Amino acid sequence: MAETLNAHQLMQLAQCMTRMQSDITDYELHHYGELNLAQKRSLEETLTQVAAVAGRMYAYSVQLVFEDTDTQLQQLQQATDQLRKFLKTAVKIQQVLDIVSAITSLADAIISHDVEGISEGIDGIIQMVGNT
Amino acid sequence: MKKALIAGLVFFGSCKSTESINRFAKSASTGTAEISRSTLDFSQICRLYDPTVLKKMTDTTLYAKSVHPASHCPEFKMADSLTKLINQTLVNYFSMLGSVSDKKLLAYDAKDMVNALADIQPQVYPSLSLTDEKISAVKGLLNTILNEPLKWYRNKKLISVMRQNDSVLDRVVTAYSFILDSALSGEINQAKENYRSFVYATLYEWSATPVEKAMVNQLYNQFMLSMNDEQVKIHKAILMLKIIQKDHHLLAYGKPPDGFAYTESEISQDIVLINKIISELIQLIK
Repeated sequence: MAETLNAHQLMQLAQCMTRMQSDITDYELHHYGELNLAQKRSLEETLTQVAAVAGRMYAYSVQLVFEDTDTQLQQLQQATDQLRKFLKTAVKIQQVLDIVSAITSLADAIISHDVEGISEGIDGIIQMVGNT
Repeated sequence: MKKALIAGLVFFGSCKSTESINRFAKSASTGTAEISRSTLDFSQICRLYDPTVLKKMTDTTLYAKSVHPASHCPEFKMADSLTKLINQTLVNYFSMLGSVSDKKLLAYDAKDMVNALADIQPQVYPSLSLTDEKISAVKGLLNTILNEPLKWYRNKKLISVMRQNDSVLDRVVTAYSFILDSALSGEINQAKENYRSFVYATLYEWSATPVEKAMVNQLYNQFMLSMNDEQVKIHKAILMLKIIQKDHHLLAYGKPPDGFAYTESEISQDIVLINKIISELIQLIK
């Protein structure tokens, strides 16, 4: 079975590449005058390749971390949905309490023979029930 | 019996306040969203500090018009979308904890109900006198009776969700911290190295006079300072995530035997700290 690197191992490898690039650059800076054009080009090509590979490794490690945490992320999304549903239920309880209050006001209007109040009260209750 | 029930409800409500959860959740969601806003993207790093891009800085042709191969950065774009997904999942979770624990959202005001009852009373029971004092006492009691079960119900749900997901959150926050601390910070170190290899080394070798060399050094130091600022942001973000992780655990399980009072004071201190870090992150962007 082929072994693959995990995110931490890939990170260590990327860090080694960065250090190697640093060492090559140091060498170039200290021996620039002694190098001929071909050697300079060769060094630059090497540096370009090392830099590109290291950069891609750091970025790629995110994919490996993500694969490891995918299940937990889904669980957290489910918990968020669960809370969202709960919130809807709690808001409905609140609306029921509002309706109780509105019905009491309506009873008051009926006792007082307040026709306008009765009409407003009924409208209010219909609206609230419609919202639940 | 009724008195005991009311007293029980009041006691329950006051002990298990959702306020600490609400304050924590609001700070945690703002802080987590700020991390995404203030730290550099992987794609930005690729676009700005890829070797092919940096080589343009040493282009000596007229108007630097030499053709350089374009960098497409597919791994970097993928890293960004996955990191954003993790960030957004955390922000959504904390926001929802905030919404469910928001007392304004579910606080029931019995004022209308009591006023209506007070208006009905003279017609139904004219002999019963209801003074303002009595009415406000009834109002207070009704608010308690109607609100406390709701509070208790919400708190029970919140604690249960937080307990169920505490270890899950721990894993997600650890993964997010790893991405910031190792992958993103690694890219920043790589960007520093790229600048040294493809800009500084070249310009320094080309500099013919001490003045030119000094200027190249100045540019180098400016670049390093800006990159160090990026790393400071990352360290602050990681510190904030650690606090969030700790507080979530504390709110879910408390700290026996110190109990709720300890949790409340710890959360209050941490919220101040989280808000301070958020301000520092905002300052670093400016």
